[in-house]
Amino acid sequence: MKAKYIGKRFLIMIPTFIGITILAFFLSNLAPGDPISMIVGGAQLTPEDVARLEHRYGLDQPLVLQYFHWFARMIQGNFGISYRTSEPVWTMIMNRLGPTLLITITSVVVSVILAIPMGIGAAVKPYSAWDYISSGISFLAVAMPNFFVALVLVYIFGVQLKVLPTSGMYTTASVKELPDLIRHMILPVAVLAFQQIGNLIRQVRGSMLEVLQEDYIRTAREKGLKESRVVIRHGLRNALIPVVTTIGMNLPFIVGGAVVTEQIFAWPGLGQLMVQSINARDYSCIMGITVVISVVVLIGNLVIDLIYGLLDPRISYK
Amino acid sequence: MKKRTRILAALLALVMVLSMAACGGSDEPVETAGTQGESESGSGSQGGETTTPDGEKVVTIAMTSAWASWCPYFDSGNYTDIVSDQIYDRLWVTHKDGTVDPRLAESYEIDEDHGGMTIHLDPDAKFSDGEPVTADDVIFSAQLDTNPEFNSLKRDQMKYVAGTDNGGACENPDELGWEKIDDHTVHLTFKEVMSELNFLNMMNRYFYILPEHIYSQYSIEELNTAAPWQENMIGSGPFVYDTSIDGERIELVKNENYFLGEPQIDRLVIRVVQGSQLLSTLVAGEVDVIAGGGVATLPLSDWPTAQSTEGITAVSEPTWAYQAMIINTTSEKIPNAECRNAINMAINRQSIVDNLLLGEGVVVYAPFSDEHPFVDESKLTLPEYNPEKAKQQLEENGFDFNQTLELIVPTGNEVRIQSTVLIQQDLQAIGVKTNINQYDFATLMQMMRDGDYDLGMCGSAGGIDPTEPLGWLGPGTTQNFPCIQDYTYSDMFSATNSILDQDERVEAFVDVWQYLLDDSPVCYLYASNDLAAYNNRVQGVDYDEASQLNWKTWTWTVTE
Repeated sequence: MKAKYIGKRFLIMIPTFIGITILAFFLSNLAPGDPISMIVGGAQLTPEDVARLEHRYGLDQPLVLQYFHWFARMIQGNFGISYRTSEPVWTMIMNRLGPTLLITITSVVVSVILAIPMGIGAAVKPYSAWDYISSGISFLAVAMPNFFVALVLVYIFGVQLKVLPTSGMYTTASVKELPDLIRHMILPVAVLAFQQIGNLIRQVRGSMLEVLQEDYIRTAREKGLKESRVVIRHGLRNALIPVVTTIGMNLPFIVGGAVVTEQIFAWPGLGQLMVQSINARDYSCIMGITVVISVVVLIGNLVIDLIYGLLDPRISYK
Repeated sequence: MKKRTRILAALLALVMVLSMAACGGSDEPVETAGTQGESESGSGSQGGETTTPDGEKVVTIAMTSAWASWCPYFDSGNYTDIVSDQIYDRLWVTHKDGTVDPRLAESYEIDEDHGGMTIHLDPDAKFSDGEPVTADDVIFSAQLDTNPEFNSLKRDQMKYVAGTDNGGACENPDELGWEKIDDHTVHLTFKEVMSELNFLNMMNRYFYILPEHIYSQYSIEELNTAAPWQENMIGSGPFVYDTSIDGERIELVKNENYFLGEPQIDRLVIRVVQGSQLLSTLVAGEVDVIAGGGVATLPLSDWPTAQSTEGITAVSEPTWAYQAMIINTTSEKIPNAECRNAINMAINRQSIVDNLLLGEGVVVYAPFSDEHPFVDESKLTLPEYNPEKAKQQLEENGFDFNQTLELIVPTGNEVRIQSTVLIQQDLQAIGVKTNINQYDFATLMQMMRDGDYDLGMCGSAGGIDPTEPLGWLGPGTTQNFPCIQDYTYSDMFSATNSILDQDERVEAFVDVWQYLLDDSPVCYLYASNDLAAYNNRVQGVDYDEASQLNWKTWTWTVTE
């Protein structure tokens, strides 16, 4: 039954994916500004030179034809050449995807690890000091813009204490060592984790409060189970469903990169590349990134749906 | 349940490991034939980033955006040139005042009729793979740059060479005015008689000499992609490509055989740092030099801190870059030159410089400041601030005060955005209503090119070449933002090219600038200084040369 469900979902993904590419292609092309102007920049080119560039990149063709050419190449694994850098788009994306996943996944893991105990604590003893502290942190995290948090951390740990690097991925690119990478990850990951932790604490607290009122929790308690077992084994498992949903909704961010954080910490990720590509109207790169993000999000959503089943056996797949 | 938890944990760990691996793998150093000096570097403390434990002397330069291309000819921006200039050398460097110093060319002689020049290459110059730099390399570089099938964005620098069209393209390389005399001598024929300094100021800044023995192996189609350039980064500059992280940094090691002298530092790192983080990374010791030169300028808000921070030298360097408000000459709302001139007169430029630039800049009326060798404001009738006269001139020339002008400004440059508000107030004071709209740069460029605006803010890097402003002033260029329909400016600027005597040429430009001021398709506003800074442990940093991409990095030294 589950295999049939997965197969059906994959079939639905195909038109969804094509729809995404059509929307992304035409919307980005219809936006004012053209890639040739941005390629040319301050250079003085003649109309003949401009025409040659347009021809080279296929921009002299009708938009619909451009889309079909792009799509035909894309399904063969050819994402084209960046207008901006003349490099293969696929190579550019792969160079940036690793650094992005590194900080986004780590930040999700860190935020989940911190948010779950804080949320549980707040739900188990509502209106206690722990609840107020957790809620305070949650509100602070939601209310503070991440660029502000980033600047504060840079000032404290980079400028004043001088204990952590504030930009880049390595001290030197010629020797890439894991401890050095981890040191460079600390501040961007802290900012991203802080950004996510607020919502997660509130989600865990809210769903735990709800679950702890359920009959089966009362039954478990009356059976004489330890409170910790009741909370963790019976409560948390059911409370995790909205948490998983929140993480699922973060998938585009996880793959697409954290634009602001990557910019501030000069982290060479996909978000930074996306901004550069949009600014330069580098359509081939924009489309390449869109494809990667949409594929991961579509598959990720399926995985999230399957995880629901693991958490709650009552969920069946039809 | 326990089993499922373990599976989930294992999956999570796997994803982490894979993403770590992806990071490491994607940025493996690209070994090149010219790569030298692999060395260990510390991963440790601040300050340790500038000298490695094994004593390697490292200097890190910060700029605010990544280089766009591995090929020096594929990009028109300084972000690529600042890197290219370290790897590939040029024939000469042009100083800010227009004088030139030799690099690959140790000398030149101008033909008696000023129809060309003979260039003598330095016989000691070598590429980083050990091959000598010869006349064949110069000819090859010129032929490649002028080849219309090659995607060069620096082709217009060749437009005064015989055999090229108005854009610098040459269909038949045999007709190109570059000729080999012997292994170390080339002759260059101009399209028309002109002063050699005039030619060098226009051409020399971006003419990188490429090794023929490397790049002639590739077809033009291949050379139009990044791969040949990335795989064979062989130049004759002071540094050699070592490794990079895409979009984050490029690391170069010294070219021990550099013909102008072995660099005093071992490794030069060029990094990307966001503008707001420039000062903090400098103070934290993560970078040593803020590049200036239009690729990294300190925000004005950081300027007082930079000046007062111990161990840092802050430099406010005047440049030829300028900001302007362009007027759409085809807009029916601004019907004639008199109205444009009145708008020009209504702007209080001094207020912008005093209040927004905090004095770190100067007012300009012509494209360049009065310091420019080709501008002498004492001989010009300037559109100085005079709101009463401006209003009267508008009234006399049928300007409709009931209409609203669309004033567009690109996002990004905060001072420019704020100056737009001051200009709006100045115009409001004489009864001209404006509506300000901000757009991203690509959108704004398209709107200006299409004439879909009335007034538009824009800036230019300027330069010592006095014909540089022509890019905005006539049809047939990609930046004819004022939508000028005739070739008046083109003819006026071109006429100055054939004047051989420098003083006479300066005098000729008085007429050009005066016509430009009276016609006012562009209201030139201010020239802001380059605000930069460097760590005092680095000696030899000269910001006067930064705007011309003339870092003498091989003479830089570091002390601990």
